[in-house]
Amino acid sequence: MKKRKHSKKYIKAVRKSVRLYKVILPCVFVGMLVLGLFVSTLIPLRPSFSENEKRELAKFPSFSFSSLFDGSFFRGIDTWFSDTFPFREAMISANEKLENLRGFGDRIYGLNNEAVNNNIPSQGDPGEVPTESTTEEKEPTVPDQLGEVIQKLSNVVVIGKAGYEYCSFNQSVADKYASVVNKTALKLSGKAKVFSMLVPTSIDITMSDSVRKDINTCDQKAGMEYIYSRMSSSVTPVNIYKALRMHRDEYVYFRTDHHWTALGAYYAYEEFAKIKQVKAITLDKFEKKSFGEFLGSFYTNTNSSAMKKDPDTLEAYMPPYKTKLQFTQPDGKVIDWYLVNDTSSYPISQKYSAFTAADNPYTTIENLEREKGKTCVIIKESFANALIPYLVYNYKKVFVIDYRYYKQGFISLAEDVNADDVIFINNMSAVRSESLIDRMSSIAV
Amino acid sequence: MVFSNLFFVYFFFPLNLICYYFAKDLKTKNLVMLIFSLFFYAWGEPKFVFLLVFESFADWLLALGIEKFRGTKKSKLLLICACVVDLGLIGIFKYLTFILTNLKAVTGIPETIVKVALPIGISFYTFQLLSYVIDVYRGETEAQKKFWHVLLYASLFHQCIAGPIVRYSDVCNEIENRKTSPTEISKGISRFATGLGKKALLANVCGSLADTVLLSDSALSVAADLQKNIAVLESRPALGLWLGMLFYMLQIYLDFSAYSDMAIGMGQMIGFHYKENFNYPYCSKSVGEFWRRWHISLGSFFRDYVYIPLGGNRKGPGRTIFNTFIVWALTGLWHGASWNFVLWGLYFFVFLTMERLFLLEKLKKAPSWVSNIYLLVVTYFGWIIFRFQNVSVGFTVFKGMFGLCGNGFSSYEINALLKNNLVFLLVACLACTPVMKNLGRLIARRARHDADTALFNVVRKIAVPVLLLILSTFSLVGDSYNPFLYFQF
Repeated sequence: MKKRKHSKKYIKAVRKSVRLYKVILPCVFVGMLVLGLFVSTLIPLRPSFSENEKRELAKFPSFSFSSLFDGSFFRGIDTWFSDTFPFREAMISANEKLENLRGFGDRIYGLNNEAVNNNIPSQGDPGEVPTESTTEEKEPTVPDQLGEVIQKLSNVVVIGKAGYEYCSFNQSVADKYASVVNKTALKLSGKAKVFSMLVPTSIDITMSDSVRKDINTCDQKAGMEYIYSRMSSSVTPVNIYKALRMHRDEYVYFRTDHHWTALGAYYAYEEFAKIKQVKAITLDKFEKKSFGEFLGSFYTNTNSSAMKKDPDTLEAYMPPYKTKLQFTQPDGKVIDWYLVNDTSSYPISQKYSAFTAADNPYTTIENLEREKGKTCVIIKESFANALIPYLVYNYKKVFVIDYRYYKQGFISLAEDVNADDVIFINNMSAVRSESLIDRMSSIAV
Repeated sequence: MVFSNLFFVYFFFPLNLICYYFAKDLKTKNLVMLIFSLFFYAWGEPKFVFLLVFESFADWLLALGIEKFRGTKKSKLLLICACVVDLGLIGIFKYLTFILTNLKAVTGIPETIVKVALPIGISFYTFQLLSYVIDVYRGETEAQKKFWHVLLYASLFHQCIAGPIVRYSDVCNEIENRKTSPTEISKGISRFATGLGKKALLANVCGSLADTVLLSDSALSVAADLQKNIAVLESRPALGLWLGMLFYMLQIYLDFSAYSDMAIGMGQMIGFHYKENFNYPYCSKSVGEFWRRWHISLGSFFRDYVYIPLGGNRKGPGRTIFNTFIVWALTGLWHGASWNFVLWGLYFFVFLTMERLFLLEKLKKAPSWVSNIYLLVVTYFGWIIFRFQNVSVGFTVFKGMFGLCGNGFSSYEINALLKNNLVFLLVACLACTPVMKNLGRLIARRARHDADTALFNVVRKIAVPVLLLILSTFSLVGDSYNPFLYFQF
C-alpha cells in the first residue's frame, strides 16, 4: 500500500476489514435470509387484503390428499406465501420506482392482442340480420354467469398522465348485439320505442390524433356505424360520436379511469334529447359539485406514478329535481339511495359510484316533480350511470337494468311496466365481448 | 419449486442452511441435503419423486453389478439394461406423446394419444444417472456402495431440475469429504446473489417484454387460437418483432445462466464445486465456440457419450459429418419433444459443418467483431426456430421482421416500448458480457496497492450481493402484483 500516505492506523484498519469481509458477508447475507424466514412466518404480519389492487389476497390452501398428490396444495402455498408477503405494498411501490429507471417516455402496458379489424364493413343490410326466433321458442336456461361476465383490461397505453384502453371490433359479436336490439324492437313493436346509444371509449375521443393514428386499435366510429346499419328501421340509433368529438377538448373522459365524466355523459344526453325531440334540461340548472380526487381503473392497472401525482377530479351535477331511487341488491334487498350521491368520503378508487347508485341488477327511479309522464327501461353497463341523472328529467319513471346481473327477462319487464321507451346504452368495449353480449341475449325475453 | 421464488429464498433455503450448519458431522449434513432435496422435488412433483427414487435405485444397483462383473459380458449387458431403463423412462415421460402423435399422423394409429405429464428435471437427472453408470462401466469411477449417496447425487436440489448436468466423478469425493471456508462461502453467496439478480431483475423482465410482443407460450399453445395468433403477429410492426426476439435472446441466456449461477453458488456455500456451465457464450466468434461456452455440461455430455463413442472425427470426413448430425439432432430433441427443437439442433449442425469445411478459416482471418456479429446473427435467428413450437408461427415472425406481412416498420406503441426500456436493454446486454466481472477484477487488482481502493473493494463485495438480494425481493414481490385484471364496466 504505497500510493498515498495513510496513517498506519488506517492501513491497519483496512487490512482488518479485508480479512473480515469473508465473515461479514455470510453473516449479513445469511442473516437477511434468516430474518426473512422469521418475518415471513409471523402470520399476523401478512396482509389479507390489498387496498391498491382491490382484492382479497391468496389464502392458505386447504389440505386434501388429492391436492397433495396433484401438486396443487404446494402450488397454493407458493401463491399464498408470495401474495401475502409481509410489507408487500411497500415493496411493490419500491419496485415501481425501480421500474421507472428502465427507460423513459409514455408507458405501454401490453399491446393490443386482438387482431384489429379496421376493415369494418361500412354498410350492413338489416335484412340479413336474423332477428332471432320470433316464434315463442322457449330458450334453454343457461347456468348463472354472474361473476363470469368480466372483461380483461390488460391492454392499456399510458400517455403522459392519461390512460387509454385498446379497443377491437368483433363482427360476429356486433351482429349478435344488433340482433338482440332488433329482437327487442320487434317484440315491443306498437308498444315501446327502442333506442340504441353506443358509447365510444376515450381512445377514439380524447387521444390526440397524432398519437392515435399510429396506435393499433379499431376505428370505433366505423364500428358504431356498422352496428347501427345492422339495426332494423324500428330502432332509433343515437349516434353520439360527433357530439363527443365536438367537445373532446373538454373534460369528457377521465384520464385514470375508463369511464366518461358527468360532463361527457351530458353531451350524450343532449344528443339523445335532440333525436327524441324533447327538451333537454340545460346544465346550468344543476349545481356543480366536486367529490374530490379520483384514481380509477387505469391507475389500478398500471400503478402509474404520473397519474398518482395528478389524479382525476370527480365532478358531479346535482339534479335540481326531487327523485326517489330504489335499487335491488343481488341478494334481493331493496335499498333507498340518492340519484347522485356524495362520494367525497369514499376510497379514492370508488368515486365513480356517485352516479345512479353504481352497478346493481335492478334500479327504479321516480321523478317526484312530475305528476305523470313517460316511462323508460334502460339496458346498460356502468357508462350509463353518469347519464341517467339527466334522463330522469324527461321521464316520470325510469327502470334501470344492468344486464350483467339482472336475471329476469327485460322485454317482459318493459311490457309489464308499460314502457314508452327502451334505451340501450352500451359502450364499444362491451359490444365486442362475447360473454357480455351472450349474457344480454340470454335475458332478452 | 424454483430458486427465484420467495418461498425458496425466504423459507426453504434459510431453513436448509440452518439445518446444514447445525448438523454435527458430514453424514448428518448429507442426510439434511437429501431430505431437503427430496422435499424440494416433491414440492413441484409430488408423484414423480418416486420416479426419481426408483431411477436412482435402479442405476445404483446396475452400477454395482457392472463393477462386480467388470470385464465380462454380464457387465456390458447390465450397462445396456441401465440405458434401456434410463432412456426408456425419459422416452415414456418426455417423448411418448410426441412419438405417438407423429405415428398417428403417418399411419393413423393409435386412435387416442395418451398425454403424459413431463416430470420436472427428468432430462437433467436422467442424464446425470446415465453418465454415472457409463463412467462406472468405463472404469472412470468406482461404483457407489451406498444407495442414498447415489440418490443424493441425482436429487441434490442445487442442480436436479435445471442443471448443470453434474458428472458423478466431479462430486463423488465431495459427497464423502468436503470442507468449506468463509472465503468459499462468501464466494458462493456472491455467485448466488448474482444469479438471483440476473433472474429476478433481468431475465423475468426480458421474458415479459418478449411475451408482450411475441405472445406468451401459454397463449401460443392453444391450438384453436392458431389463426388468431398468426393474425396478431402479422400485425406487429417489424421493429417490434426484432425487439421481441432480442429480448427473448437475452432472456434465454440470462434465465438459464442465472440458474447455473445459483446452483454453483449454493454448491460452493456447502463445499461442492460444480463445473461452469456458461462462459459468456454471446461473446463467441464461431458457432463451434458458442457451443463450447453455452450449456457446457450438455455439450460435453453429448461429446463424451455420443460423439466420441460414434467415432468422433477419427473415421473420415463423411463419418464426422454423420456423427455431428446425430449429435445435433439429439441435442435439439433434448430441449423438447417437438420438431422445431430438432430443426433448431440441425440448424446449428449446418453452420458447424460449414465452419468445419471452410468457414472457420475465413472467420479466423476476419476482424473479431465481424465473426462475433456472424455468431450473434446465427444464434438470433436460431432462437426464432426455438421459440415457436409451431413452425408456421415462427415463419410468420421471420417474414414480419422484413415487413413482408404488410405490417409496417414501427408504431407508436413499439417506439414507446423501446423508449420505456432503453436503459434496461443496455444493462441486460452488458450482463451478457464479462464487463462487470472484469471491472471487479480491475478493482481487486488495484486494491492490492491502494488502501482506499481496498476499502472500496470490501464495501463493494459486501454491498453488491446484499443490494441484489433486496432489489430481487422487491421485484419478486412486485411480480405477485396482480391488479384486478378482471373488472366490470
